[in-house]
Amino acid sequence: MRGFESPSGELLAHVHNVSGGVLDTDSLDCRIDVAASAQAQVTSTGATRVYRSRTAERVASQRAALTIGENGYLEYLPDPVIPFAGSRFDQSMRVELGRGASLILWDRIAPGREASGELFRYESLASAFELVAEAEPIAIERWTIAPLLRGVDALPRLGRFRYFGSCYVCRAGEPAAYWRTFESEMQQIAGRLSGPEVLWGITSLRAHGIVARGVATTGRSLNDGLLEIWKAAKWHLCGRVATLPRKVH
Amino acid sequence: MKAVDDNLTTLLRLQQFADSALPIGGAAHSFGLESLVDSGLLDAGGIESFFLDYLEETGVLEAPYCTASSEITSLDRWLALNVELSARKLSRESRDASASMGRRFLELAGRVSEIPLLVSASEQGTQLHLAPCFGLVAGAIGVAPEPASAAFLQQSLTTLVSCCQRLLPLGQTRAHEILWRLKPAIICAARHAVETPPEHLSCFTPLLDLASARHPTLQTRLFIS
Repeated sequence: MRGFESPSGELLAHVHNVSGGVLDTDSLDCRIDVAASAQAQVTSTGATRVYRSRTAERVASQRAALTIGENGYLEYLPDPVIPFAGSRFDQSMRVELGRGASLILWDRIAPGREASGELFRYESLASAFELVAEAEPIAIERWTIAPLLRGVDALPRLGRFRYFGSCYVCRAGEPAAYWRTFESEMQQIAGRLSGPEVLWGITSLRAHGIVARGVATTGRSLNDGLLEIWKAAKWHLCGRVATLPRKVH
Repeated sequence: MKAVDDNLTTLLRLQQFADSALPIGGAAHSFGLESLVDSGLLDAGGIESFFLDYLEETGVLEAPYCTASSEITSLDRWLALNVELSARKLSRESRDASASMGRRFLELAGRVSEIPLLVSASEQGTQLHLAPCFGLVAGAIGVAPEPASAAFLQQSLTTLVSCCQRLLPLGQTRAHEILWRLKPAIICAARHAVETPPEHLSCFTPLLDLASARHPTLQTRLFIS
């Protein structure tokens, strides 16, 4: 693995998984430390495909720990997670921001291999996410989807939508008023991007950031919106043009 | 005889604090329901099933913070629970609504009961959410954890069903039928709360979170959240 210089100033790194997907006994760990004032863009080479689990005890897992030093900058832009029929997967991520550190991080979850007619046929998908700035949690998400046990189409969950994703935009130390203005400007973009196929919402976290949330009926409509939100958020946050990671899209 | 009087006093105090008409601002918030109705995703026919799923996710998330708070021995631990719950509430309007109601609830309970723990807790500067505030008050007046969280959920649902009555064609009788039928689900969520520490809880409500995040952009609004 080597870094590529990105036109917008970050060093781009692709994270590879040689198996092409996550097997049911895999236990993957990833650690990324962005040094003080360093700028990095991290992406994957393709979707995280989670293969079928052979027994209930075989749960694949992936843990990530990200730290961003003082005035550092990280874009973490992985491809979607695609849980195959019968798969069991636990993913967790903890991100720590130092003083003045910035972060743009997205995640996307697909319902399965839609082209093969696999929609919500996996056994379980669990996620734990914790975002910490100035030694306090600013966002915590813990959820489990077990579509064969509890209907994903229930209204508090996904309703008629199938894909969902989030984009966190943070900088430790910015005051609440900054984020309220940021939220308000991004809401206009979210409104423009929303329609029958996709809904976007933007909201301020308890401190130091905002999160954009989207649900969509197709993967393409979610991805298109996420790119627009990323571009606008990056421009607003640091006045730089967003450049897609170097790979085939 | 004294024990019977004590139990009755505790019951009456719980009934007073669990009244959905308590003046803590509940009638001003929809916690994202107004957006769901506005976007055509929630209609009168879907209210009961919505709240059943709501209890499985949001109810199961909030109730353990109430339960844990009812057994609290240190205000530091209780404040940490509030910070954690703030971080788990991603949508600003719903988070602020919960904090606004929590603080008013605690101030009212501290004032009428004059219990030093409640008065001291209400003077803290951080966001204080309704679920941990309700639990702290319930514990201070001698209510056990499970009935405390069941009463909290009952109060929350009654407030939300009342909100639906203003948003949708939902009559008084139908509203009470729904609340009546939700009792087993409330008990289930309250039992789960006793068995599960808050840090292990799972809650998957992306559409409800998103609805709350979209609420500030609605053209016309009846509710603050």
